[in-house]
Amino acid sequence: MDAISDRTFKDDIYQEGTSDDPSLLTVILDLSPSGWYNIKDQITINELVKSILVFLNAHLSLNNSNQVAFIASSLNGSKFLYPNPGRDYDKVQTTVNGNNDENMVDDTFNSTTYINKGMYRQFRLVDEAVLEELNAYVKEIASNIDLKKQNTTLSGALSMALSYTNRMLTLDQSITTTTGSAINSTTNSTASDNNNNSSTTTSNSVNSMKSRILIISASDEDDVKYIPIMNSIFAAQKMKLSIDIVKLGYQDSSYLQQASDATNGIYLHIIDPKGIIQFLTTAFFIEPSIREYIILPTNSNVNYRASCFITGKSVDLGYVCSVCLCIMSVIPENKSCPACRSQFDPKILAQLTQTPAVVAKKKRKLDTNGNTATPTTSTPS
Amino acid sequence: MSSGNLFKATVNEYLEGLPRNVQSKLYEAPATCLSIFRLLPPMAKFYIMSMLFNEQSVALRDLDRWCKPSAKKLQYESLKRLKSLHLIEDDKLANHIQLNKTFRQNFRDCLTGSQDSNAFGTLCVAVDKHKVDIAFLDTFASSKWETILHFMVGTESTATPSKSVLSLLRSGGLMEGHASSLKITNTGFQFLLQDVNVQIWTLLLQYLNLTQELNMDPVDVLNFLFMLGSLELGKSYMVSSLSATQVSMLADLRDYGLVYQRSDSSGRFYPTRLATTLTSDSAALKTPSMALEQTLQTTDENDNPQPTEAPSSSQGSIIVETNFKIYSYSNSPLEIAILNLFVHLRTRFANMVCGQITRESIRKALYNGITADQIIKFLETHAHPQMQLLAKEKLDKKIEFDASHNINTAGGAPQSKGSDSNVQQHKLEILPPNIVDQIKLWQLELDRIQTFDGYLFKDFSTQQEFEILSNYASEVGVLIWSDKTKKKFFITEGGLDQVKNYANRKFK
Repeated sequence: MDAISDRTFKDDIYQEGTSDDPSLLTVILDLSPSGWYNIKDQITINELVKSILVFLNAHLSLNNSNQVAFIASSLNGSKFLYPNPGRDYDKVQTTVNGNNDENMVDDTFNSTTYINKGMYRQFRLVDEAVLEELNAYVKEIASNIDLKKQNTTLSGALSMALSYTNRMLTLDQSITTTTGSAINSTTNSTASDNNNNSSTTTSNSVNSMKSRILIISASDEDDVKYIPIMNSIFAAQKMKLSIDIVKLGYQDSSYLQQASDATNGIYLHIIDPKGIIQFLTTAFFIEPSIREYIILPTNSNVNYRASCFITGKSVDLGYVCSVCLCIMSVIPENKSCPACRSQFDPKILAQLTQTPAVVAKKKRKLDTNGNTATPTTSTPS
Repeated sequence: MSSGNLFKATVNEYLEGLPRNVQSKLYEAPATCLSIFRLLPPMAKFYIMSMLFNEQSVALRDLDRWCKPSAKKLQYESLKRLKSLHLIEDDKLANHIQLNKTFRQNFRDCLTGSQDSNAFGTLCVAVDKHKVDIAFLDTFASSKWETILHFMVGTESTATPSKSVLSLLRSGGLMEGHASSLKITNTGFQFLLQDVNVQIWTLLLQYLNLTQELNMDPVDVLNFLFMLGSLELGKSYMVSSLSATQVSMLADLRDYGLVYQRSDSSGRFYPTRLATTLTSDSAALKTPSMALEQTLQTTDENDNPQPTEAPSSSQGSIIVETNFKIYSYSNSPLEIAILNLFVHLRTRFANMVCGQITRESIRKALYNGITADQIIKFLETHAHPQMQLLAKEKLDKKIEFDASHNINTAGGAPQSKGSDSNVQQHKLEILPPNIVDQIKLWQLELDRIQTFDGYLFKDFSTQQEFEILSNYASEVGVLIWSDKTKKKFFITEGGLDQVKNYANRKFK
């Protein structure tokens, strides 16, 4: 059987390693206003979006069947800016067509002025859609800022990205995506897809699509919802997609760090975002297909902090439920675990809440004769 | 994807073979930049992208630092590819490289959208009186292309393709003989087994050679081909925005089914699916016989049309059994002719043929220059949906088994030791594995002796010196043979410069 390890057999394996499969890139842009306000001297959303669009184009340029998705997330919720099922991308095309016609100029809506008409169509469709939707989205944020809501909805955006990725992976539409309007047609035809499901799924699993997620966040508050984020991370791990993080602002975000660390992603805290395009096209341009060959430019110094189930704040030192490993920073008032409802032993709770008898201890230490009955009972807790 | 790589290889070889000034003229067109970029290997794409917005030149040493040591070979190959395309240039500083200036400028423009509005063709504004939809374009393209393929296998009652096509087939060595009695050659048979994409490029490259003889500007021709690859299916484009050379090409491209033009004088042209997928991966395409079946289907379904529906995924017809018997539910003469290349066909019924794969039948094919991979690939892509379903079920079961027992049964084969770090994954086995192995083994029987051109390194003064050099050679993947005790090793022809430079650096 030596022959099996010969050239003809090896070549196959080698080619698989460097295969140039299409890939899906999902960008999540965290637009929580306070974070952007803090770094207003460094970069504006406007400048950043320009760089992101070039980055999206670069991703599309890699392969004809490559795809992108763009999600914006803010205090009011997350939203798909591209692809948007409610939008007819072909219609945009026709209005652009009409734009060439001199009679029609007045009728066309202003969106067409954002992007150069001569741009490669695949790029232009994405860029136009993102810009237009983003404008609407930012206006929406500005019009109804709710001061009470302070949590970012990043975890929601992440789950949206994951479910979209999952759908693309199982549906794998590389056959139809040579044109930008494919997503549109597939959402319309999902009903018909179900009918002949058995035949489509078989052929689809042959050529696999790769995917990754890029999160751009400027928020310095560390009070993201811990459990949904962790669940998303585990889902991502299972789907073998990596989460890359661009962190702007002044502080590291420990949860985002954990997200990239657990999924073999890249986490970079960019202090000076002026030349962000260079970061995006080098460090964040490592496609899943070459990821295993490249030394990732990431920081191994990750803060694995967890957050309290009761208060939602991150904990450095806390209590752990012995049944379900739920983490608490304070002892719950009803003396039972908030996650699994198991009752805690009142004796142990009493020990935990016991205020250290400092004066007594000092006395005992002086007293060498060994009245050690009380300290031995309390130490194991 | 082996055949996909093959087609990339042929195009790339051609591009690399172009003289430098032609190459740099090519890079002046953004559409061409984009297409050439897409044809590069993934690592090379990454290098280009990382240098694109970087004004300074990059030290070679830094490139080394980005990659894991195990990827040296990939890195070496991508850099070699980039150098031969002259996409990267050596800087004045030693050991620094820089992106080609024209390429950088135009590719940047292409990404930022600041190039000429004409670069990706000019869309026709006015509505066409004779409405042309995608289904029609598909039918048109596949009927044109099928005509050529059918003519090659000599199917009766097919129309003869136009003269330009015939001359291409002859000059490409795919067919031989006089105009009246053309016969298919061995290369022609190989050609039939390829993907449509590979086939088109083979013909187009042949066409390029011809155009040079006709004193057409190769840059113009190539630019047009690459532009076609970035146009959009189902849209019409203005003929008036093309150069004179390109307009004269339209008629030829129409013969191949790459573009549709209603008449010679028509002011607009439609790219077909064959054209728009020129620079994309093979996944987006259909193989010839599938295309034929689809045409048949679409003509049947013309009564109840489904407008936006993209052509449904491939419908193969071949069933291969573990006892080397093969059944094909097809009466397409093209597919039967192809099968006949490597299968001993026994019986033919109204709607199927059956045959047997034998050592002789495979050897006959191998002698004709067809490779085992091509045969396997062909059988896989044409497998009956039932076989695919079965394979899928098996795969699911295996994965489930692994997941529930928390082990990995994949990669049990002895050779998997080499491909360390990453965990082996189960592969979808559409064909019975024993058939696949046997076909490969039959091929190995034929090439017991392999010849390589290269250089022998010997007479090392110390063992250490030998080891440093031979290790380096194997890292960059140019080492063919080495013997520790005799202190000799042999490397490929292309690797000489690399090893020589390294030796000079190391032992000076």
